[in-house]
Amino acid sequence: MQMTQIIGGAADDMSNKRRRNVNVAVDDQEQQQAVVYKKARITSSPTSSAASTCGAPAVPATESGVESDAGRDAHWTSLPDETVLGLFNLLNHRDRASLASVCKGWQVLGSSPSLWNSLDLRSHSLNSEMVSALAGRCSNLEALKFRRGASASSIVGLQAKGLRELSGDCCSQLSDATLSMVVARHANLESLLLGSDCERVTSEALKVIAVCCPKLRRLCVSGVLKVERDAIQALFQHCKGLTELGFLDSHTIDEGAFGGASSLRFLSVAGCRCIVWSTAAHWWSKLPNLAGLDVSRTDITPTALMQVLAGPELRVVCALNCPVLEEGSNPVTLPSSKKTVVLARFTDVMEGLDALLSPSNWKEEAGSCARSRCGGRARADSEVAKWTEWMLSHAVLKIAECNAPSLLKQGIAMMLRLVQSAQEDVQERAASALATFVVVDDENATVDSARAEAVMNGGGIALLLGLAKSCREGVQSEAAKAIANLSVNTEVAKRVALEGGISILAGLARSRNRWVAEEAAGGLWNLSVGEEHKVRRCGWQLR
Amino acid sequence: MHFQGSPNMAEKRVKLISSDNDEFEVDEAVAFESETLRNMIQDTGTNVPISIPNVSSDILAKVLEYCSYHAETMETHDDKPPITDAQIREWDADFVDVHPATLYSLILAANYLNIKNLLDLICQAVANNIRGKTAVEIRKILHIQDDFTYEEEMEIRRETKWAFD
Repeated sequence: MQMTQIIGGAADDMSNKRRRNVNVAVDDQEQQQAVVYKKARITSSPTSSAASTCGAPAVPATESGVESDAGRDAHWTSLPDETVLGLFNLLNHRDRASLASVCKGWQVLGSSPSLWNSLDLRSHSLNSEMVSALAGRCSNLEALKFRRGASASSIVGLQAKGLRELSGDCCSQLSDATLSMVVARHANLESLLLGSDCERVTSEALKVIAVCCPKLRRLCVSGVLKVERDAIQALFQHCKGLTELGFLDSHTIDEGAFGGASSLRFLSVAGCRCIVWSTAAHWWSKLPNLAGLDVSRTDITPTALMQVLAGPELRVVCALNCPVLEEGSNPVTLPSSKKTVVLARFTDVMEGLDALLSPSNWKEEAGSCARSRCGGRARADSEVAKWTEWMLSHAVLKIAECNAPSLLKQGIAMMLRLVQSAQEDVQERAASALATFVVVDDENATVDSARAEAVMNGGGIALLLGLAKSCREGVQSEAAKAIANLSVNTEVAKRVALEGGISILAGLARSRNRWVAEEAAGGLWNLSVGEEHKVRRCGWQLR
Repeated sequence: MHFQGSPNMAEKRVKLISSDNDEFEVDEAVAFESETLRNMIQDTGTNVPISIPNVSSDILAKVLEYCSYHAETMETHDDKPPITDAQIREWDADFVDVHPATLYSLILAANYLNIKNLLDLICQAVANNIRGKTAVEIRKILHIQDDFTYEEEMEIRRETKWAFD
């Protein structure tokens, strides 16, 4: 049979031709699918009242399409290994485990080292059984996320000798002893991030970190009460490549201990209330390579800010929610010629971010410098941009959590901007901040309609639904939570339904990650029930 | 205006022959979406029809539909607004909304013809279909035989148990 198909020509013409020429087999298949789809819709419609009231299509049940015979010809197990690995790569570890349990060939592929270089175990409580099941897989593990300090001691059991990045949430139970043991077994650590209230961690553990992890480039610990002189000095003495340091929400930091910190490029002391700013500004303005300084939620004075701005390499200062800067009767006047961007309530944060984050600016600058330096300069700028996003997302989340009425007029625009970051941590925290920010009263769990609608009008719904489609569970759950809280508002609920949110949430509600499933189910509930129920549901959502 | 009518385009057409001997004719720009075809055309020119022995006509039609749309999105016209990313995403989503067996054939074709964006798109669609499913459900969807012995099944359950806690 000879038959010529012309692809191209006027658009209408083309589609007509296509239709005429479609192979009979395809036609059959399409018809079969259409029938199955109809069936699926009919059976699912009584249960999905949420969908019908909001005017969105019911969730198509793909499983039912499977029963047809058309799939018999496909031999999925004979796909090239590379393609199957690609498939594994698009899934989170639960789905990977399911895929690896399908057949022998895929079991082998599922244990490929390349699939095991990062693990997010935040939704699991690490126990000995789990650790022994995982240990064989972790010889190439480079990045690990965990939650709760109690889990930390089990990390050693994973025998991930090559671990380079360790990140922990909710570490209030993490003790000096446990932390010391963990870092002592992971001498290759380059990045160590310990979040929210490591109140049991002291400067002693910081010294152990300094000695055990000479390759450390990035250290960020929140909630250490006193950061003492010898700890800071030990860090810079032993970790020659330490470029990024954060002591968030500490009580005191020895401001004068940064004399040897010539490698330091980024410093965050956000939320530290007892800093002696005259000393701090004196020393920190002398840091030869400091490119970014985060002083959000501190009592930095206008004088100190001016002095810090004299730093030779300083590109950005984050100073969100600094009461002393904001309350003064004379507004802070920033030097206009300086290339340093100050992100604060009284500056145009979005404009500042544009200057820092837009790649076109890096190119322009790079164009003006010598060719050999271009690459390095652009890389340095993108580091500044990444760090700024990371710290800003921290700041907006903290500010949203305190429900500070001053969360900037610019707050929503900032959060929506951060939701679009390329960094997952930033996306996650920005979504989390949005979820928290729209709830104005924790006690009565009231969602502020002005805020919710502002988020919606800023394009937030499409962005959050986009995040919900990510394969990362952390991003999924925060995005689902934000959508759920926003959907308490009727107008927003309509928009969520319109943009296809119901099927996305329904998909997440089936997740085997408890957090994701709960947040998504909450979202569906908020979309489906009347005004008075929504408020109650939201209160539950926040716990 | 369709991209084909663009005056500055060299009107080179390429003939392709599917495994079941159907002949397709497309613009060179459309064929160039495929690395494999690009290499072949650069070697042999556009005079000789190129046979694609392992892609059937229904699948080749679908692949070319993808290529011609995406070649078109690369074109700029003064009299028409450019196609937005959102429109492309929507078109792509419709494109992969097909039976798993079709997705399978498309993967093989995209692999052979080396069309990376198409391969990524389809793999993402397959991943979306697998997401949240158990091994048993995945076997059902993809018609895969369970080839584990009872002992092996128990062993793999023990191995993966952690992921489902």
